[in-house]
Amino acid sequence: MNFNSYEFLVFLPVVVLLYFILPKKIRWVWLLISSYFFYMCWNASYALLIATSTLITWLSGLLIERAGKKEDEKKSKRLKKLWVALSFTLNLAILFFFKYYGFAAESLNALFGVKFFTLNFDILLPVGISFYTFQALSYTMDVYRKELPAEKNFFFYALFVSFFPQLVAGPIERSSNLLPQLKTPSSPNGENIRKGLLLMGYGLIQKMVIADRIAIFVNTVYNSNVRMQSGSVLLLATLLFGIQVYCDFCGYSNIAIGAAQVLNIKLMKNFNRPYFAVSIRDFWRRWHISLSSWFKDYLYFPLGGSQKGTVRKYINTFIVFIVSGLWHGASFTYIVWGALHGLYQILGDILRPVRNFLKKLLHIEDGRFATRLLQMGTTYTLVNFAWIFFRANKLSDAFTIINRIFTNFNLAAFWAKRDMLSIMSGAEYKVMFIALAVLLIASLLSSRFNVRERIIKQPLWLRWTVYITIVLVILIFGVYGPDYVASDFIYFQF
Amino acid sequence: MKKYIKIIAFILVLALAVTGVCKILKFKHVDGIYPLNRFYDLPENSCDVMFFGTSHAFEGINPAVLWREHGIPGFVLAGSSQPLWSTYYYINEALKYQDPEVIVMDIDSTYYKDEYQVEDELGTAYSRIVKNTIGLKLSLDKWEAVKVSSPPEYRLELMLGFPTYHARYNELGVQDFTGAWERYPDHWKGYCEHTGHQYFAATDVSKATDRKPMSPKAEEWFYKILDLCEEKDVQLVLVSIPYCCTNVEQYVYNTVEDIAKERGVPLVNCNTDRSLVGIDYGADMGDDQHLNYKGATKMTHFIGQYLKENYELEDKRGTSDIYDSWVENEAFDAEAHNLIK
Repeated sequence: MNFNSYEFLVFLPVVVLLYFILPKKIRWVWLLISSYFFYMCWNASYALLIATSTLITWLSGLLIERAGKKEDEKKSKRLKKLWVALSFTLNLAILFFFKYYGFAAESLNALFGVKFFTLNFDILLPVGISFYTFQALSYTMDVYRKELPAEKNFFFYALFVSFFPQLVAGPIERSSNLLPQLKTPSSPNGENIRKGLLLMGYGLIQKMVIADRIAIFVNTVYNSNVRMQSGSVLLLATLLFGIQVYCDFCGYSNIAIGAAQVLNIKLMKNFNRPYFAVSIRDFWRRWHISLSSWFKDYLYFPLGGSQKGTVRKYINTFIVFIVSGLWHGASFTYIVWGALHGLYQILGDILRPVRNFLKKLLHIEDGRFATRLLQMGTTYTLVNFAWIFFRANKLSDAFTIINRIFTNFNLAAFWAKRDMLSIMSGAEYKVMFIALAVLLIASLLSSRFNVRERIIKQPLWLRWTVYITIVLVILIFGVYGPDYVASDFIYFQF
Repeated sequence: MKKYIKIIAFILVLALAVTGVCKILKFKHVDGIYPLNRFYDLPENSCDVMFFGTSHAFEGINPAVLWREHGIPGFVLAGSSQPLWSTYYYINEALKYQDPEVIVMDIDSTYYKDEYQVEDELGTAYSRIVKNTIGLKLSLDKWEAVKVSSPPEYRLELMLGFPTYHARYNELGVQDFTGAWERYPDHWKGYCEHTGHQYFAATDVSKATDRKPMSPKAEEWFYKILDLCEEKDVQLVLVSIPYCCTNVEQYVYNTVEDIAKERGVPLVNCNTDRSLVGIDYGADMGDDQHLNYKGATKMTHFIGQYLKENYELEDKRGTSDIYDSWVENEAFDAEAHNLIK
């Protein structure tokens, strides 16, 4: 079920209530049942797939640990590596089949001019497969690296893989963080419940009030014949998309983290005000943190990271970001998007002496506010340029869009209210921009202090006003109901 | 203990806030929802005659005239393009709160063929269905009404209500905050005046004697309405209010009349017998489907006479203060139309 659905509104309180009523020893069983139920609401047969990945990685953990106990060190190491390789191969094969086969088949067909590779049936993409597969694989690696002992209880491990708040779209958790917490349930904590619910409320506002509303505009522009759109409208749509994808995904993460917090479980932070980044490298420390750290720990470092020379470092970086692009979607646009981010970082590194020279020349000092502003502006521009590829329906569209932004800006078309108002009513634009302003203020505030902490410390009347306002904002300004077309989370196709 | 009290108190305050917001954002459509609001306000057992049907009814019958000429307290509880199944549930709802002597139903909707209301130039299918279902008070009957009026994907949201109207913030008017339209204040009895004026050369359908069947769903619910009135021991009168009727529509009305005769229900067709109401198609029509104020006055005058002659309806003027709103309504109508009393 979706987080922004009536079913979830009933599901969550029931799960939480029973969680705290049941004896501590069997609480994890209840969570496991709820999580599988949550997942099967999409499609009951998906459960088989996640169970398979669960089984493979759980077994790999046991086998790796057993191999580690062998006397012969060489043999032990070889065996351990074998189990890791098997676990990765099998799981990635499943992922490849469900997610990439269609894309691969199309590409091969195009390459050889045949129709040979197409299958006779449609392959449905199981929701969340990219997320839980990565989460399960991280367990294999963590056991191999002796970061935690193998989990003996299969069902307990299954809960780790399927834990419903973060099952479908992250954050991608590490076993060393999540497993111990699931093992030690505690009594309901008033502060956690309040903070968790607040975070969920904020996430729902990000998703339902901001992201879904922006989507109406962005979808209309990006799904149209982009050759007919003026550059100014395309630029606006691109910038708005940057906000949309942030609010959609960060919103979902917040709902996930908030829901887990209500259950006294701490999930990792997934976003940290990414558009305040001062470099692309900084951006990736703030955006989809759980995924970028996964790639860093399980792809970049095994490839050698920066330990094997500069050229190798660049190659590794490029590989990681191409794979990241591919992880986001089975399409050339995503690969180009990933490659761009890889190139940004490589070129950024190579051009550092040039930048330093320019800084000296123009008296741009590090550490000053103006400098940071310049760096943020540059990073923001680079990121949004890349978003064009992320959102465009096909590669040719992306190039057309870029072309029109630079050669056919046509600001007049942008002011022509008739064109804009054909997409959304004036009132909707107003709501959208007010919501964006609120988002900006919230982001700025959160850099100064812990907002939730402050709210729950306020006197009762103010606290209650905040809570009620949040609920009313979601109910009134949320994009749901028959006036709007339903929009799923963007990251659900991953 | 204190914690639980706080939680419950919070939930109550939240519920209060949401209810308040709902009240403001709710649909107040004059053609289907708002009549129910005013209907629910009527004092118990005050209404003697009730009128049901489509816009033909709510633009063709003026209860102020009924009160003015005969002292009969009447109410028009109709909806825009209201299909028979919605009319059934409107009648059903009305009989829960009132005990009218006579129910008059216009038969315009008997020729509708669709399974559910569909999109037309006035709105989406959804917005059409909303007008004829959402105004009902929450009850099991409302769920039945919603089920029969809409495809499955709309039903939950129609029952919840809020998902359908939460985005009305940019079309709020005074009536959303006061609960009453300026043109249709608290004493309103369901009549919407059509202020247009057009000339029509209406087809003479008195020669249209063929029969055409109703659609299966329309027929099923027509019989249900007949059964309901029998069951609740209410006298039913079927009527075809004057409009520019076509031959094809008249063929269906002929079938309806056959059924009515079988069941001993009177049917007064003002289109086949134009002498009954005496509509001047040049002066009395608002558009080809609806009468204007003059036409509605003539129609109500006729139906008032008909009801007085055939049913036991007392003149309620000056008898009790439960009829105060009818007095107010009549005065409001007279003043609005500069009538000399």
